[in-house]
Amino acid sequence: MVIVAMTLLIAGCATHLAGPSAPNVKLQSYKSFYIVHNQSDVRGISKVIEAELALLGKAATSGPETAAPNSVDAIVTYHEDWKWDIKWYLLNLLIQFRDPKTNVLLASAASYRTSLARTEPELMTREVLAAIFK
Amino acid sequence: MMPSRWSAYLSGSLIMIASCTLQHVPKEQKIEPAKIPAFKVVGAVKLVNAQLSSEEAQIAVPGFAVTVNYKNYTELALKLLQNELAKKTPAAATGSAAKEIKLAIVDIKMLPMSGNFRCIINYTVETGDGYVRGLESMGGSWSYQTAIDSAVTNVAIGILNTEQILTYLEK
Repeated sequence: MVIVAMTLLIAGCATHLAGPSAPNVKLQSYKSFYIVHNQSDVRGISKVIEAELALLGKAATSGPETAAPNSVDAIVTYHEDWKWDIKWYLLNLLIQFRDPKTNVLLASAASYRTSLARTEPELMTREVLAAIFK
Repeated sequence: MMPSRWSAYLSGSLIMIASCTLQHVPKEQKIEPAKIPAFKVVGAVKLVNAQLSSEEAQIAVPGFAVTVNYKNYTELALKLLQNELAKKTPAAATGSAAKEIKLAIVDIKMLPMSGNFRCIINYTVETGDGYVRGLESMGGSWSYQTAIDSAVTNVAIGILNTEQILTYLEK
């Protein structure tokens, strides 16, 4: 019973931040980014990423994949999952940086927050970007 | 004060949960023929595992610390690819050939959802004529192991659904 209770407790407030998998890439020196807007993104996460990159002093624009310029240092893609619990909250956010010419993954990080550990999309985006740019 | 027996249960549970490190060795899944378009293979093709690191990488699965080996995962994806190429030309996938496909799985992320998992794999594929492309595959299941296995299978499917690669194989 104690184990079940503890498991439920842990599952209810779980938060996890998974860091980048390509440590050889120095994204800190990259200056310009283009965020490819997901068609399923109805809550404006692409704009949140754009704003958070701007706060880091990076030049960022967003739009559809077809309009992605080759001139930027990296293309940004993302996956987001939302869940309902009294109100909608961001459950998962995975942000990926890619080579604009080959689409090869340069770096990625993800954040997972369950209901009791929920936070604003801006803060979740910030922690994912911090994990990437650390 | 908490009885010592309860303390022992509590400590034991914490240690059990905290130390639950598992290594997932991917299982081979069958590729449904409908997922592979019609294509031809002209000549033999050398398949190369381009993932140089054989270190265990940790992926986040709530409640567990799961380790994966990108090199072994790449090897499984290549085996699935080899099976598909061999269906077209028995001697298509050989160790020495003029044509070459290099593959490296470079990133695996697990996104826990309501009652299921979504595994996202990023990989880099390179053909002998200089084509390089980063691609992504996904797999979903209520079990994180099956989600990973499906995503690895979808790596091979993704390669054989890439127009430039099929054109290269048909040259």
